[in-house]
Amino acid sequence: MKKLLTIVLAALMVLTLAGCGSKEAEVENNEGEKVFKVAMLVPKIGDQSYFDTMEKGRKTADAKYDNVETVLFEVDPAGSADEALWTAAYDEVCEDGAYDLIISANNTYEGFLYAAAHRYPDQMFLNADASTIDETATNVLSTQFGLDDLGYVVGALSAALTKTGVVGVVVGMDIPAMNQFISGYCQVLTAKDVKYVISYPGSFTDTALGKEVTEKMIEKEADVIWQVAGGLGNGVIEACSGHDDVWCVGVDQDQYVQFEESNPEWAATIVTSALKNTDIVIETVIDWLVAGTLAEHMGETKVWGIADNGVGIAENDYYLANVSDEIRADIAATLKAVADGEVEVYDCFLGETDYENNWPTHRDANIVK
Amino acid sequence: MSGLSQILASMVSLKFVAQIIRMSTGLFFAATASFVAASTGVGNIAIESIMTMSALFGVLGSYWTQSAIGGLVIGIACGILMAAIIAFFSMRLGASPILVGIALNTFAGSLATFFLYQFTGSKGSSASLRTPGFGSWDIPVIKDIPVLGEILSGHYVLTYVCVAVVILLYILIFKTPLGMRMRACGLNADAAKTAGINVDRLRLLSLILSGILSALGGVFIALNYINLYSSGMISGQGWMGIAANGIAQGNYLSLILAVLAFGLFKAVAVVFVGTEFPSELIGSIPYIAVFVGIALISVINYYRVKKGNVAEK
Repeated sequence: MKKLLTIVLAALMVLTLAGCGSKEAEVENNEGEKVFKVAMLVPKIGDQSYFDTMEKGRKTADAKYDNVETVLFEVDPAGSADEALWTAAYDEVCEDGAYDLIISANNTYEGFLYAAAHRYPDQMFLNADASTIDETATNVLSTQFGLDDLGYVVGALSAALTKTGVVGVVVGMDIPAMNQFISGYCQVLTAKDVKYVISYPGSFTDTALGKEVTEKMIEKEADVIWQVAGGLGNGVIEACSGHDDVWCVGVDQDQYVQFEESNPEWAATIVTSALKNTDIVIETVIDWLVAGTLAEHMGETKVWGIADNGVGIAENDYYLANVSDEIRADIAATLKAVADGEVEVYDCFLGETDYENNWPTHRDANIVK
Repeated sequence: MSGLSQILASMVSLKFVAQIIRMSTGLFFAATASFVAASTGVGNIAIESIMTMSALFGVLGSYWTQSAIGGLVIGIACGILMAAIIAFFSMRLGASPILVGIALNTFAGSLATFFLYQFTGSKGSSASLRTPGFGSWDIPVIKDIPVLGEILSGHYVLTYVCVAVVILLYILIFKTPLGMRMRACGLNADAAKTAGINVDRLRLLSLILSGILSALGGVFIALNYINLYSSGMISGQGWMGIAANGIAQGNYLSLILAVLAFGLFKAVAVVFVGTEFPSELIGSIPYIAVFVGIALISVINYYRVKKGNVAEK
């Protein structure tokens, strides 16, 4: 027994030493090119939304290049945002400089990324969806989305589709990062004099509550309802699917495609979805890494808008079949105008300096209470 | 405040009544589950987790069998299994049922996500599965009666099951010899044992019943109310049921009133969403109602004991 233990321990020590040795060397593939190693740290994948979109970007980039090797780390499956857990995870991937780039995102977890960036100043990082940016971290590329532009386009579409003259949006929580989705939305609806209802259920998970608040909005005659509320949004889609004359607009990914097979009744209510293409960001940044230009972007904050395909609306067959040519042409023109900067879209989050005072006035300009 | 009068006006409508009924159904299942376990003196605090697991397995069962009834059966089987786990640990191995309940509540959320991922490849929701749900029931004849029809007809199928369950449980606990023995176990287990009652068997029975009722609650939410399993969707309904039972303290009428009050406050909170009132405050209305209810009962009890009407428990 004792002998066995000795052998096992000795084997472990040898393995550990071997592990240390191999990480130091510069890795090359069989064609002699430098292999770029990328680590992506997320709490977990499989949420069919946010983190899955990031995973899609990682996989696409991995498949695109022979000399890019990406590794996914599911750090925090319980979503605890435990500092010790994340610090340890960053230490593990940063310590011996094995990775050329480390990717993470999300307002809950980005603090750990910036902290790691300060501990490892020679490591390059990408914060693929930044909320609170640490400008002192000169080795991080922080990216944000033109969600104000996205909301503007959704607002324009809602205004074109409504028959009652009232539309609505369900926003998970009343916080600046979420309100960024609707700042352009309120602006365009006010300009077109379409009334809107806003619901803040204060949760991203309570599906039943999502259904009930949507029923209330429909009672107030809203007939195009956008959901920006994670899992709670499933309740919004459920409520809309129970009313023939109500459209729902999905979020983050193409939700029509998501439900097309499994729940045709739900899919039938989703006219389009507001896309936030985190995958495009990750893909593009890995392109830069391979091209050798990524280092120039360190310390920058870049906003991914309509022009870069960072945000947009899902133009699937269902959208084409249900939205008239005129409206589609009009929306295409709006997309172009926003992308070209012809329209100045109000942004409560990235552009606004006095959120507390100015945002409520802007939001409530044409609201139905 | 014209907004407030508008809000009040929208509360005095048949739609609002229907909304309270919708929002109370899950709470009724949870509260009766807590009540039936407590009747024999076992505290089942794992209701939230049983609802979560049954909601998931109800949806998976509906997918596997392609029928809502199949989903219901598998969801209930899951509830019975979890109740049996509590019974095994607490009665056979002598663990505190409260601790077993805490253990189940702690891991059920993650375990449900694990199973969800195993069977659907997603950790967020069962969106990729085609799962037949229960739908609503328009009662023939009654649905055509004005007002009454709107109140009684057109609810979810499992809401009618819920009404039946509430009535049947009352008959079982208060009108049958079996129910009387169950309550005897709850009042004084030693005395019941002396009288020749098999306390363990009745406690096992009440736990299993509690598991079935919790499972019905979970299946209601995932196959009837929303027709999809989404992580975290039970959102404290099991806990509110336990709180309702805490307020009722063995009185069935109080239990029903407490649940209806919670349902009312949940519905009120929805009415206030999208008005000028801060959303964080509105979201806490049902929970404040729970807190006030429990505090009120404590105060009432304190004075009853002080007056000497009731012996202190």
